[in-house]
Amino acid sequence: MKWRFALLVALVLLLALARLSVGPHLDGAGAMHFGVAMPTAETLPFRANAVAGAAVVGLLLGLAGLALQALLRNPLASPYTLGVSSGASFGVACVLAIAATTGISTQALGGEFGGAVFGAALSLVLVWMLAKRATGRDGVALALAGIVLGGVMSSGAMLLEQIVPRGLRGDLLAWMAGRIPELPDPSALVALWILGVLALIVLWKAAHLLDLLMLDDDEAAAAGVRLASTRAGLFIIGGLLAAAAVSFAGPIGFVGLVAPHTARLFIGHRHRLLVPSTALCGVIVVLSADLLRQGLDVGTGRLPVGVITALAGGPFFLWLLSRSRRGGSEWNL
Amino acid sequence: MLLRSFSFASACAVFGVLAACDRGGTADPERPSTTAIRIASFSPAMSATLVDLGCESNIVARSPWCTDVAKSLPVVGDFRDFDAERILLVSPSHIVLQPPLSGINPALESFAKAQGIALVAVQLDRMRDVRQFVSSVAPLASDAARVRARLDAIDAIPLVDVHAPRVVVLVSAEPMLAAGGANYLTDLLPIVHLRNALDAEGWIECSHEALAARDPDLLLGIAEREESVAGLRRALESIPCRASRSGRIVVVVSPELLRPSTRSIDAMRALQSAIDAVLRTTSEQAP
Repeated sequence: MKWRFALLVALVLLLALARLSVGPHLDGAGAMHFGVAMPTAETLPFRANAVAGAAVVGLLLGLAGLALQALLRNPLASPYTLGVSSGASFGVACVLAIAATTGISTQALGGEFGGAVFGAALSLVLVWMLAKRATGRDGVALALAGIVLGGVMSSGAMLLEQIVPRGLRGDLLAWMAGRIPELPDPSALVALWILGVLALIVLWKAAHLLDLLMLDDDEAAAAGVRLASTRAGLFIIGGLLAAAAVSFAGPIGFVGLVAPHTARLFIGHRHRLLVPSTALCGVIVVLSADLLRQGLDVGTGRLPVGVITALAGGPFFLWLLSRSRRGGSEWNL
Repeated sequence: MLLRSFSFASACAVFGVLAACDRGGTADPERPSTTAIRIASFSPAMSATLVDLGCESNIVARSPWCTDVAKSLPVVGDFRDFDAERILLVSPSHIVLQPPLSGINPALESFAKAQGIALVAVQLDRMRDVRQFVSSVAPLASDAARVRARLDAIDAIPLVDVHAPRVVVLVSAEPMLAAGGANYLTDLLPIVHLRNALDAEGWIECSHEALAARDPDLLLGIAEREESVAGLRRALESIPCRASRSGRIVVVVSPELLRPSTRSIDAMRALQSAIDAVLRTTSEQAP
C-alpha cells in the first residue's frame, strides 16, 4: 500500500509542476496558443496562487467528503449533502439582493465570500437543529434534513435571482460555476491551508474511530465509540471544510464524492492511510481540472473549474470503478 | 449612481490625458502616441463603438462576445471574470468594460493597478452614456471627422414625441424580455417616430398579459440572428392586444441594436421603412 500512497504523492507533485509549466503563449503573428510555456517572473505568482488554491480546495473537499460519508454511512454522501452548497448560493444571492435593493455595495456586505460563509454556516446550523428535533442526529436524519434544506435554499436563491435586477443575475450563475482564483486574498488562502492541515491531522488521529464507525451502532458503541460526540465532531469538521471550500472557490462539485472513493480503490478502507490519501486524491482531482482549464481554450476565456471536475472526473471515476470491479475489488464503504 | 459617476470620471480622466497628449502638430517623445495604446475590450458594445470610430487596430484582446472585432484576437476576460496570464501576454495599456451592477471585480481592479493598466469602466445604459464613451475615446480615433459625425448623430436623436405610436420592443422570446423606459433603445425609438409603451427601467421580463395590458400600437422584435426570428414573431403574435390582432408586428435581425453603440443609430434608422410599411398596410386595412 505504501508504494501506492507514494504514487499519489508523486502524482500531486507532477500535477503541480505541470500546472506551473502550462499556459498561454503568443506566436510570431501574435496569435495565442496554449501548451507548455514556462512561467516568467510575472506569471509565476498567478500560477503558484492557482496551484495553492486548487490544492487547498481539493484537500478540503476531499476530507469533507470522507468525514460526511463516514458520518452518514452513505457512499453517496458528499459535502453538498448537508446543503452547504445551496446554503452558500443562497448567501451569495442574499448579498446581491440586499445590495441591489438598498444601494449598499456588495463589498460593504462582505462580497460573495461573506455571503457564501454566512449561507453555508446558516445551512449547517439549521440542518443540525432539524436533525436533532427529528430523530436525534443520526445519519439518515442529517442526510434528509440536508437534502430538504438544500432544496429550500436553492429555491430561495432562485427566488432572489428573480428579484434582483437583470444585470445582477449572471453574477450568481457565474459564482455557482466554481472557479479557482488566480488572485486570491492571501489571508484567506493561508487560513484555508491552516484549516485543511488541522483537519487532516485531526481526522488522521481519529482514524481508528472512523474505522469503528463503519460498524453498526451497537458494535461501535460496544467497541467504546461515543457515537453522539463522534458524529457531532464529524458534522462540524465536514461542514466547516465544505463551507470554507465553497466560500473560497464556489461550489466545485464532484470532488467530495470522487476523492474518498478513488482513495479507497487505491489504498483500501483503513482510515490511517485513507485520510491522507483522500486529501491527496482531492488535490489531484482539482489540480487536474485546473490544469486542463489552463491548457484548453474553447474561445470563451477561462473555463469554470467546476464544469471540468464533473465532465472529466465523472468518466474517469466510472472507468476506475469498472476496472476495479473487473479486478474483483471490494466496493463497499 | 456613485459608481457610474466615478466610472465616467475615470474614463474621461484617462482619455482626457491621452487627448491632451495628442493635440498639437509636433510629437512629444515624452508623451504616449495612440499607436502605443493597446485596448483589451471586455464589452461587445464598446468594441462595436471603437471599431466604428476606426480604432480596431488598437484592440488587442477581447471578450467572448465581442463579435465586431477579429475572432483571432485572444479572449482574455469579460465583465465578471478575467485571465490574468492571458492579459499579461497581450500587455494592454487599457481595459475597457461595462461593469456589472455589483461593481467592478475587485481582483481585476487590484490586478490592473499592480500592472499599470488603465481600467475604463463605463455602464452603457442610455445613448448619453454612449456619447460619453465616444467623447472619451475620441483621441484614439484617426478620423476626427468620423468621431464628430457620430457625436452629432447622437445629439441629433429627436426627443420623445408624446403623441407618437407606442411600441413594445421585445429582444427575447423565452423569457419575454422587453426594453424598458431608461434604456438606450427607448432613446433611439424617436428616430423612427415611436415611443416606448413600457415605463419601468432597464430590461423587463414580462408576461403576455402584462404586455397586453399596455395595449401598444406596434410590436417590435429585435433578434440577434435569423434563427431567433420565428420564436420572437410567435411570442409577439401571442400577445393578446390590438397590435397583434391587426398584424402590426415587425421583427428584424439587428445585432447592432442589441448593443448600445454608435452603430445603433443607423441600425434604428434602417427600421423606418419596415415600420412604415406595417403601419401603412394595417391602417389601410382598418375600416
